[in-house]
Amino acid sequence: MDDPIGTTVNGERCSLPGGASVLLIDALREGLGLLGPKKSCELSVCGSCTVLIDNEPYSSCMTLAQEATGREVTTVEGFGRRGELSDVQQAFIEAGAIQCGFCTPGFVTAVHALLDRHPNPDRATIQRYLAGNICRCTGYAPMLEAVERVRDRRLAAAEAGLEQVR
Amino acid sequence: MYLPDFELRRPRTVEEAVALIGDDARDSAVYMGGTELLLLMKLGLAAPEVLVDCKGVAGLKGLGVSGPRLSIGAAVTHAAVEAAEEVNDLFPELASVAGALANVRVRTAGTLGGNLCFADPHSDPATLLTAIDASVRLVGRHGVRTVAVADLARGPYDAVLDGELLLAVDAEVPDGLRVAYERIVLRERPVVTVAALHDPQHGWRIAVGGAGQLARRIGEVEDVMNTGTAELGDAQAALRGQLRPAEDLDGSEEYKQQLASVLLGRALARIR
Repeated sequence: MDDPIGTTVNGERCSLPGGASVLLIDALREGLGLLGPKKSCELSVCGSCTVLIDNEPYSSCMTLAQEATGREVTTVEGFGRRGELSDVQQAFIEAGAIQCGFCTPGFVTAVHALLDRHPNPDRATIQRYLAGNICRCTGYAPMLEAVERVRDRRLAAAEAGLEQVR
Repeated sequence: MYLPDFELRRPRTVEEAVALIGDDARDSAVYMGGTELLLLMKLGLAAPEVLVDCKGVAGLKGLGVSGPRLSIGAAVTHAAVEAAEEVNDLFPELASVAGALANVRVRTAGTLGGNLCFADPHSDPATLLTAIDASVRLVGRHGVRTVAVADLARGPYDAVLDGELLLAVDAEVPDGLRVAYERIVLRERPVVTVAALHDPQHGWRIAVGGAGQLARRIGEVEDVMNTGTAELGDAQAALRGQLRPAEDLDGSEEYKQQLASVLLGRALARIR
């Protein structure tokens, strides 16, 4: 079981450290130096360690690294292009949805998954989806506003694209 | 927090899985989503030598409806239950319970069968599935047996599994069923849960979770309701007499009795 694991992380093929009991968060942080996923509760409660596997959200603190074998893992480092923020990251800054920043990578990752699954979410859908991400600073309202900004911009962009086609 | 060492096995067939799980020489555990098992292992409450990953076992991912019968395979996640058209058509309350469980990451990884096998007294699905008299199919070295969800646990966190693998969860959803599911969540898991069901064939079926050792039907409340002339207060009084919740971090015995009474009131108000 010590064979390195072939997997794709943020678009690049790589090998995660082997060992059956290695957790995905340790493989990412210690093996690949990806420090975006944070260790906080370590019990799948707080959402700070959220990563995507095949575009679905997982607690990397409660997922075996081996679960990622042959699949695509996305951490917060994988959003946006080099040197450029993703639309979700940009909206978090604009809405003031960041204070100490510790929960932010998990939130940003969860929001990408949310908007992938629900392109036009109402506030209740956003709240239900993000209820498992805990922030001790912001009071959450700025995050909700940030998600709605991204939603509206993406919908407007899609509408504009349709106009061009017409 | 790190996990203790273990060996990970990935059987492909039920026979291979049962041979691994039923091997008395080694302490093993069925591993599906890991949302409960890995939690216990991290907390030092379990340290199996072998984790038997059954997600790849053929035949466990099925979800289907045959007439009034709904069947959900052991590898079906909460997110899949929430999204399944069959569940939303036949038993939408189960879909909404699955969709409100824990958090989105747990719903992505965790399975309905795993939740039941964990035998948490604060399980949402266990309360609803106990109310509807659902059952599970278990397979072991001596073949397949059917166990009611209400009988799956001896006590908190203690399922009756004897070297067995859960194959599927089965529920029969009768015509004209009305369902109300109510819960109070203060932290990660619900404190008290109440499921109230009514249909012409069975009359009232009422289950309460979190206010005792396990989720269970409360026959005394059902009897009161089935008289057809009961006031809400009669049902609530009958319920309080049946509950002996333990005091813990979530609250006192009296507090939990009050929660259960209020939740029963809300549930009955919705479907009476």
